[in-house]
Amino acid sequence: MGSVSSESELKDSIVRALAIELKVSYESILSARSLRDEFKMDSIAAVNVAFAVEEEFGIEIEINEGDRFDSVDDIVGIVRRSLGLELAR
Amino acid sequence: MFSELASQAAGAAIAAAAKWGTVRGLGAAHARVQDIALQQSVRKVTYYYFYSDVLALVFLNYRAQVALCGNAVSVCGDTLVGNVIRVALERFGRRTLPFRFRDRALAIRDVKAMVSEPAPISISADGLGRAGVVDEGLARLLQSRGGVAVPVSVRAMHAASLSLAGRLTIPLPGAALSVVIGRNVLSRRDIGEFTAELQAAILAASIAADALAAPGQK
Repeated sequence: MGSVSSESELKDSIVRALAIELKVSYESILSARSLRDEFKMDSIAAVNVAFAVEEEFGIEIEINEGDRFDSVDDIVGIVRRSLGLELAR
Repeated sequence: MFSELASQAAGAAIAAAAKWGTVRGLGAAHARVQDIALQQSVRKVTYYYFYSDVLALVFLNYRAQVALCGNAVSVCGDTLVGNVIRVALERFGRRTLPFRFRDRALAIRDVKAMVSEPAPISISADGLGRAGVVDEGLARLLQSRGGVAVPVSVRAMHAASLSLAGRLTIPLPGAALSVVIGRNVLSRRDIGEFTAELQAAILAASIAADALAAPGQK
């Protein structure tokens, strides 16, 4: 379990978790516009990514109705909200 | 609102129709469940069944007058039939988990709850895919959840088929039921092999339940 010191660290962690779960390269995740369309990320894959990030940072990710969970930026936003704090950029 | 009222009415009708009739294989099923419960302290349990058995499974719960699959939490899809099943099970005191698969965010939230649920869960193996074929999504859910998967097959000796969803079987009131709880399946890393093993285990349970339901069996 660690702590989040910056947004870039958080984004890096999410991209790594996505790359492992979706079995694609780090770079292709970074350039993806829709994880669902491009890598067929379903709800189980999304949950596995959420668990990986939760474990790394010792947080619980809350997913609310209407949340998009379809790009790295979407996920960063959801995790930031769950962290409940403004990260240093 | 109308949908919820319809679900409540249909759930109550199922609850009333389910109570009377015999169950073949209940003793063996109880013994299996008790054996599984002993293992449950160290690992999670997931019961899985074919969607065509779902109403027979509800009937079985009422008839057995005990929560046959331990304190299993039933996953109910956000459909008309899923809501009816939810109402019928909650009237019996069973806990349910929703699966709102039409909304992406809610689907993710619901799958997260299924994976995290410490109690046994029971879930359809083919609800979102081809009838009678274990969906690879279930295998992946089981991989994430860990623990042991247990197939359940319930047959009604007299039943009607409803074309809704092309696969729903409605036990007739008073029809005898047969139940078989199959062998434990442990999670495997290879998703194809794991899905095939889940399929083989539930087919074996289905064949055994059919045999038990045959005329002349007791």
